[in-house]
This record gives sequence, structure tokens and C-alpha cells, in this order.
Amino acid sequence: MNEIKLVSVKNVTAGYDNKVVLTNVSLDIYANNFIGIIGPNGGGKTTFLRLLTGEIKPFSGSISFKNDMSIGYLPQASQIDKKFPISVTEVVLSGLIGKQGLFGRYGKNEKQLALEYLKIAGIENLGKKNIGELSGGQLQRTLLCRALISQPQLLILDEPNTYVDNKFEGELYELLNKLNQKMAIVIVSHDLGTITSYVKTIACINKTLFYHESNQITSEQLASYNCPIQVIAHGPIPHTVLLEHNHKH
Amino acid sequence: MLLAMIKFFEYQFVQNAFIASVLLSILIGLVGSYIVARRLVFLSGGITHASFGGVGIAWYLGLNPIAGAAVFAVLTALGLEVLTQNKKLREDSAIGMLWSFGMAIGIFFVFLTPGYAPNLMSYLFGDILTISSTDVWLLVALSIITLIFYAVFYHAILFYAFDPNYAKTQHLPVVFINIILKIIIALVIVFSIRAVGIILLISLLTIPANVANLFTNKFTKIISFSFLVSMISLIVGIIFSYWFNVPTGATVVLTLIILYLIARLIISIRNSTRLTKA
Ligand SMILES: Nc1ncnc2c1ncn2[C@@H]1O[C@H](COP(=O)(O)OP(=O)(O)OP(=O)(O)O)[C@@H](O)[C@H]1O
Ligand SMILES: [Mg+2]
Repeated sequence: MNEIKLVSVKNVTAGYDNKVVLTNVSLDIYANNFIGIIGPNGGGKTTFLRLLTGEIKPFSGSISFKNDMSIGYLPQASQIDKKFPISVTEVVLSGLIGKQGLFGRYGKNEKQLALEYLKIAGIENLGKKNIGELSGGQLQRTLLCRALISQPQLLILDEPNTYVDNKFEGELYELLNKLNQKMAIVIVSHDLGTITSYVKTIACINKTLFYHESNQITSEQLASYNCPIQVIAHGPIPHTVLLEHNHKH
Repeated sequence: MLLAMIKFFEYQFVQNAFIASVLLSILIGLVGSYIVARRLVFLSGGITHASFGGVGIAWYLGLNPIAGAAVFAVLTALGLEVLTQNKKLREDSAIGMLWSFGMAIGIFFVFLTPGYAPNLMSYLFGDILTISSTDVWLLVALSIITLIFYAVFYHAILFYAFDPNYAKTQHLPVVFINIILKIIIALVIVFSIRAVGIILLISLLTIPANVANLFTNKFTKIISFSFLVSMISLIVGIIFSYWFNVPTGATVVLTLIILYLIARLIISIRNSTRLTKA
């Protein structure tokens, strides 16, 4: 395989204030990956993503990144202050801070780029609005643009489908499919039925991480991964992704 | 009347006061906007009051009280960072502790110092007419440093302030930006003590930016608008201190509150005419 390895997580234990959340987690992320992360509430999915973004450091074990690797991140419930005086366009531009650096200037080209991403997200008419005036879904789309604008090598999305309507959710998954030709994607979702038709592989996180090298997973496998999640399929699923075995419940 | 006016502007201390209020307003515009946007009002109140510890110790030792205040203000700002690291202590609690700790030290040493201390009042309530030429030069230096810092790092500051966590994931040197800004806040506070005093200083840091924020959400505009508001209040403060001999701080605060109420009135009139038009 001549795939480029972006991140290598080895035997990591992590958590908060000496409270261990994840133990013995290992995972390699390659440039063409599209990983769906599932797991119960409080299982440690967001904590794992925070390790990838560098927001928190592991207690033990190691995480190594490819040189100059860039990350775009859409946080779950971001601690963003909606009263902060900043416009939608400026928020999207802030996604370029890694590229532009401490001395960054943001001129016509950057603003044009921001507008293109606003168009992709269907909110090009909101650019001048202050973020306090946005609905939950509009803010989510704005933050998605912020994550995308730097065209990162690794795109990390923590439950991007919360707040957004069904129509945009569908468009989002199609968009991610296209983006995956250029970048690795790690996405957390509770909507197993939907994500498995888009992702290439699955990781179950519940105190530790089980990696499943396929996008098809059975209830038995989920059980063996210690991943007690309810599988609910919404509407018609594009192709059968959840292999139903003979079960007795 | 005209003659009195001309004479008024001929005094060195009046000229100093006017120059100082222009420079202070620049600093208040830059720093107050950041404080309000990031909700650091309580933190700034803590730094302000804790600096009284420095005033007290310097008073006792016969040193320059403002220098003492500067040391305490910067140490408080940095101390808060250390205390709240690893979330061992919640920030508002840490502020409460250092706030009263500084005040206690100040009171302690003021009482240890023999003799009556009438000038001490000017540190608590402010007297912009006592600003010396040295103070003005120090203000010039701080204004230049702060202006350059904001001009060079404007977007980094804005994006960091908006979402420090995201800035960190993008490898922005967030610790550097945070520490420099906290030190600048501490120094601006210390330089404002002369003008409005420790007790009322917080209004100068909060009200101008809030008046500005009623009319605009653009950070650069909030900065320039609050510069104007703070300028008006300080000039009214100088005039009242001179002619009626009241402490500058009280006049400045009352002016600011009136300006805020007028701004609210303008906004509500504008909104109601918009509604009736529609
Ligand atoms: N900032 C924090 N400080 C302390 N503990 C935390 C913090 N964030 C999360 N935790 C704890 O870590 C554990 C894992 O949380 P995490 O947010 O990673 O779960 P998750 O899998 O993302 O859950 P969800 O599906 O609800 O988003 C939980 O028990 C939680 O209480
Ligand atoms: Mg989560």
C-alpha cells in the first residue's frame, strides 16, 4: 500500500483530570480513509476526536502526526458564544487561521473563497449576518464551512447532522463523498443506518476503540465490540448495510 | 468666560489631562472591546481591585504607588492563569480570592503607614488633573505598543477571542496571544487608575464597548466607537473636576451611564419607526 499515513494513535489512555475515559486505543488514519465512529453516549467519541485535534493530550501512549498535517474540525456542541461580535464570513475565514498564521491578512481572495463555501452550504445570503442572528442549523453550516475552507488533509466531524434539516443532511453526505477523494474524513454519528452507506470503515468507541474494516456490521459484531447501540433505520436505506442475522429478541 | 477658558487650557496639568484622555480612550477602545466581547469584565474588576495591594505596599515603602499597582496587576493577571490551569479552581472563584486578597494587602499597609493619607483618595476615586508629564509619556509608550500589537495580530486576536479551542486545533500560539493580551489589560487598568480610580474603573472598561455594541457588531467599529464614547466621558470628567472639584471617576461614570441610556433610547426609537414603516 502506498497510502499516506496521516495519524498514528498507539496504546493511548486519555481522559480528564485523572479521570480515565479511553484506555488502550490504537488506530492509524490514512489519507483516503472515511471512518464512521459510533458508540453510546459518554463512550468517549468526542474525547477521541479531541485527541486527534490536539485539544487534549494523552495520559500515556503516543499520537504522531504526519508533518504539516492540517485538520478541519466541526465540534459537537461548540462552546461558541453567540453574542460575540463576529460575522458569518469572518467565522468562515477563521478556518484559514492555521494556513495564514499569526500575521495572517484576509483580503479579496480569502473572502471570495469564504463565499464559495457559503454557497456550498447554501447560506451565501447570510455572510454579513452576525452569528447571534443565526438559527441552530445555520450556525452548524457556518461552522462546517469553517472546517472545510482550509481544505484540510483530515476532516473531523462530530455529529454534523445535529440541527440541520433532512435535505441538507443528504447534501452533506454527498459532499463528504466527493471531498473524500481529496481528504481523510472521520465522522461521529448516532445515525448508524445512514452513515454506513457513506463511510468506508467503522470504529466503535466505548471506553476503548474497536476498528471494523468494513462498512457493513451486524448486531452480533456490535455486541462483541461492547457497543450497545440501537440500530434504527430511517426510511429506505440506499443499500443493505446492516446485515440482519437470525436473531432472537 | 472666554478668558477663563483660555486660562484653563494654558495650565500644564489641564493639557496633560486632555492628552491623557485621548491616549486612555485609544487604550480603552482597544482593550475594553476585547474585555466585553470575551466576557472578561469580572476578571478585569479583579485585576483592578487587586492592584490596590501594590498601591498600599508602595505607599508604605515610599515608592511610586502606580508602579506598585502595575506589579500587582500583572501578577494578578498571570496568577489567575496559573490558579485556573487544569481547572483545579474555577475562574470566578479565583478572581474573587485575588480581588479581596489585593484589597486586604492594600488596606493593611495603608494602616501601617503613619500619618494621614489624603492623596490616597485619588487612587480610589480618580483625579485626572493630577496626571503628570511622566504619566503621559508612559501612556504614549503603552498606546504605541498596544496599537502595533492589535494592528499586526488583529485577525489572530479576533479569531482567538471568538473560539480559543478552534484556534488551538489550528496551531495558533494561543498561550502567547492570551498572556500578552492579559498583560496589556493589566497595564491599561493601572494607567486608568489615575483618571477614574480603582472603585469606578470597571465602568470605563465596560460601558463604552456596550454603547458601541448597540449600534454595530463589527469588532473594528466597536473599537473606534468606544474610543469616542470614552473620550466624551473623560472630557466631561476633566471639566467637572476643574470647575466643581468633584472626583473625576464619579463624573465619568455618570456621563457613561447617561450616554448608554441615550443610545438605548435611539435604538428603541429606530426600531419602533421601523416597525411602523413595515
Ligand atoms: N471536559 C470534560 N471534563 C471532564 N469529563 C468529561 C469532559 N468531557 C467529557 N467528559 C466525560 O468523558 C466521558 C466521555 O465523554 P465524550 O464526550 O467523549 O462522550 P461521547 O462518546 O462523545 O458521548 P456523546 O454521544 O454523548 O457525544 C463522559 O463520561 C464524560 O462525562
Ligand atoms: Mg460526543
